[in-house]
Amino acid sequence: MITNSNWKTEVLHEMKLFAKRYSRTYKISARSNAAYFEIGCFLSLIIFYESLGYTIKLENLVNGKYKYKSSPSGIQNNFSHVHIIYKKKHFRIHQNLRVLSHLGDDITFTPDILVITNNNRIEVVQDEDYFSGKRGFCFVKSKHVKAAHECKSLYPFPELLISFLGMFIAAHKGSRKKVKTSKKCEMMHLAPTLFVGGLSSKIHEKMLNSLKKAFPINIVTGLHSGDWKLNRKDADLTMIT
Amino acid sequence: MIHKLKDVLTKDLDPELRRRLLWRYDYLVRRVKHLKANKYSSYTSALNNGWTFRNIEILCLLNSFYHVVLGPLSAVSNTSFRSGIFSRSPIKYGSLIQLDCNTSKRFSMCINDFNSIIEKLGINYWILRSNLADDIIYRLATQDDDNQF
Repeated sequence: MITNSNWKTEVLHEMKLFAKRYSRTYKISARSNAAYFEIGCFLSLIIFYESLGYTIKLENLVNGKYKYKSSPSGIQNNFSHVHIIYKKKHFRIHQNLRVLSHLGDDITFTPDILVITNNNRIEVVQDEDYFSGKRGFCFVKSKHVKAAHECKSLYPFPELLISFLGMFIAAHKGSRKKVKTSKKCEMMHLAPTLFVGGLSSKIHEKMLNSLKKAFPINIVTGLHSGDWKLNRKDADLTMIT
Repeated sequence: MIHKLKDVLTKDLDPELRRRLLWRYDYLVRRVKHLKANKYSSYTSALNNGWTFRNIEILCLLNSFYHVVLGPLSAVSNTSFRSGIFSRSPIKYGSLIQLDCNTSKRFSMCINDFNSIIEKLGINYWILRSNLADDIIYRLATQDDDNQF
């Protein structure tokens, strides 16, 4: 119960000390701020695959560093990716790799994180409408996509959740075999997931649960709180084969 | 007081982050003013629990600071990242960022320290994580520590 009239003074004092100690840490660009969130989601996914029993290898490192693709432009082979292996089955995890949708030859978009079956499926073409053909147009067809994940450092408002459905439908052809279990089974993947920074209220939780019942997806919220539900034992996650 | 606190928290902040933080703060406070003007029972209950409008403004500012500035950084402050495969291979994100164990540790210290200060100031952990002004006022009214609304 805040009745102490010195409380405001105390707040100001504490925040001044905090800013003095940490301003160099948090005073970064808006772009960097968003990037850290995206990287956090990516790392969480890798750790999750590790917990499922996959072998994880980092490939295409540049000078010993993982070169993270930060935008849709650029040739995918110039950037690093993650190679995951389970019982001789191989998959790759890329960032910002463009998807050519099964819905139409001119429908392309770029999810933040993409799990694909094989690197050989990444294509590069010259398109006159893309930088007058001077840059390679790099993409993978949706039939080679295992799961497309998206990261949003926002709160889970309904329109955000619905727009994720659009990406889910455009990136994944047909229904995916859904395996909903708390046990770790063979060769499972995390279903297409929307990672959201903000917390969900009860009314949002109802919508999330309804969407999960209707589609093989996950919507993981509260990531700003450090509530990394992917790796919690009670995580109610949808998996796909 | 609120202006001094705004200066402390937004000084030298990236203009875009500053804009978002202040926008969020204004959005929250506008809603609180509405609850106050229309004598919502939740607002009255919050006052009965010892909160004042000025103190609630401060909570809105701290909430906005957490959501806009610190929340995204908590994503890479997880200790498990520092022992995994990426502990040996730093991540280079464009020309902006190199994320390695030291960076992750710094973020972790920053956020843990902030959470400690908030606790010391008697502020409910979930108030900073609430999305809407109504949620903040609800928690002040009910003094609910549980994370469900």
